[in-house]
Amino acid sequence: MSVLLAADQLHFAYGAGRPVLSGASLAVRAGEVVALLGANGSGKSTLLKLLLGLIKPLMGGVILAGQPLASWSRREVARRIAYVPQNQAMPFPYRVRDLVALGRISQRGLFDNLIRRDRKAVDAAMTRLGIADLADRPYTELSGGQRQLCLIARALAQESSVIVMDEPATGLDYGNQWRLLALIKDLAAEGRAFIQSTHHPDHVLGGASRAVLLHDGTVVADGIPSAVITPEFIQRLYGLRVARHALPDGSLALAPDMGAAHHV
Amino acid sequence: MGDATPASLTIPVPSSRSGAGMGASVWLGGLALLLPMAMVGALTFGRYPLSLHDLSAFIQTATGFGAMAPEQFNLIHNLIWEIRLPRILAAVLIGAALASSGAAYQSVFVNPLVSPGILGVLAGASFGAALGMVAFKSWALVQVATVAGGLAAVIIGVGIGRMFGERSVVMLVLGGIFSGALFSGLLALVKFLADPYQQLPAIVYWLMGSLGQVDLAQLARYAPIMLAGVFGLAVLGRALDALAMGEDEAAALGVPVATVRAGVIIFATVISAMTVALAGMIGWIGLLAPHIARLLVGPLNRTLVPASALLGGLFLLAADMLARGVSETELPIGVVTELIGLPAFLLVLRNVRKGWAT
Repeated sequence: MSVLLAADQLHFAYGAGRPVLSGASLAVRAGEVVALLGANGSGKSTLLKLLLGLIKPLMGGVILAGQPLASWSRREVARRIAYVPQNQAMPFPYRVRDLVALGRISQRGLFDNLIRRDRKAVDAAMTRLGIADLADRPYTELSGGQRQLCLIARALAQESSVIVMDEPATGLDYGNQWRLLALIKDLAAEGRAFIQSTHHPDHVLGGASRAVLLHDGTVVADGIPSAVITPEFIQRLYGLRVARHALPDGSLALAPDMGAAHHV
Repeated sequence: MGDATPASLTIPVPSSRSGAGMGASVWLGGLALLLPMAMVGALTFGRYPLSLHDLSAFIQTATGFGAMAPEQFNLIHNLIWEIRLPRILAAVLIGAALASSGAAYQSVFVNPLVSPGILGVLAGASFGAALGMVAFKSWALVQVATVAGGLAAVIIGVGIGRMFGERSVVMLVLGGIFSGALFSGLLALVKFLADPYQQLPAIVYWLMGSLGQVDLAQLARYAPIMLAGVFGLAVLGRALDALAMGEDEAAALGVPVATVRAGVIIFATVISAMTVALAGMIGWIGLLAPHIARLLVGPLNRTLVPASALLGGLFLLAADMLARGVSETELPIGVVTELIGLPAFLLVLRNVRKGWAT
């Protein structure tokens, strides 16, 4: 499978502070769901921002579709990478349809009127996520789960091949978390690539096709979840002892050792 | 791996509400019709009675189709061209500029509580204007100083806000308050240093806000720039919508954020500073008109900016009629908007709180 987006030896620090990333590399291929795992402050969000070109690395580079990210314009980047931020408070009551339609800026630009093709893409994205009925509702009146779906619909309307998600499960209830992971899997099977940061190793085992473990600013492991989400790596990332169990159906589950947890 | 793989998310969906898009254009059209009607109404309003009938007779005579007594014609001619029309046009232009820049600032700073007044732009422009009046002889330089003061104020206000809270709504407002206080202090200093017999009264009277000092020649110089600014902000509507999602999201959507933001801030600041050069400090309209417009037409800036401009024009026109009509002596327009604006601000707060609850 072709590499859509790659990070090559990224170094980054905020101002004169401690380096957040020191030589992180990874690659995202079509159809993959890459999960980025690491403790608080391990540089997950920074790495995602670098991949999106929102901040510039001190050293190293991001390669988008075979070319350095810095050589693309913002709009060209947006045609290839979409961003689903952590859902947050929004002061203005945009209708869902209008919010999703902002995804068309990368295609139509800032000034031209949206054409039929744009409206079809917006409708298709809302339908795909099952939120067509919410089209005329103000985004501000929706629940956390519905908002997350709107933001993903906007990313789909953008028609980009890579979708970057910052902790998409945050703020969702247990059911919606797993429904979201299943949805992402389906969307990836249609040929898109996802890269998402997460705090849940279980989500990675159950919902990702590859896991990238970030520790002290570098990638310490990169591979299929069952090979990487091991008690040894969990201990290294979070300083927490866990046991890993194979369930009768073949899936894997982690169980923290509660006795050991509070001695750390 | 996963047992839980349903085909799609099934989150219960409350019944939909429709027709918001249609409503927006109806409101916009309604406002666009209402404004010229209100302007004609305002022409007839004042101490000297002038009926619509007089007005139509005057227009017929002026275009060669009627015969009005020459004395009466001259009287009405003066009344309209020297007194009423300039202030009506000024009210509409200033209201439109303040309201559309308020709408633009609110989107660009992702903050429904900012306005030219709250960001300190009007205070900065006032200081620039006063300094210009004391230091320079040329009116052109006074105007340049006014605009420069406005730009300096917005840069300081936003800079302070960012210094203490990267994306904080409250910090930006506090930064604006800081900037406003700084320039009010500097303004007081200029007033203290000004010649108390000639410069000081001129500065005080001007900044209190008056539409009576505007003449048609001045309007002819200001209007093209201010209308271009309002138009420019409306044209940037979609970019403003993206910026209202926050900096990172806007960039990821494909918007060149730094360029667009700089453009919007310059447009909005220049036109709101120019309102100070025309008629002094006029508060509240830049905050209230966008809010009410948003309730009517929704938050999409391509309609919100023009709707705010029309509403702002209507508001200031009404406030001016009140200023002229409420007593024997005309009240300063800034005082009127301040007094009407306060209760209306409570409505805004109520509405904002509702929007932020979730």
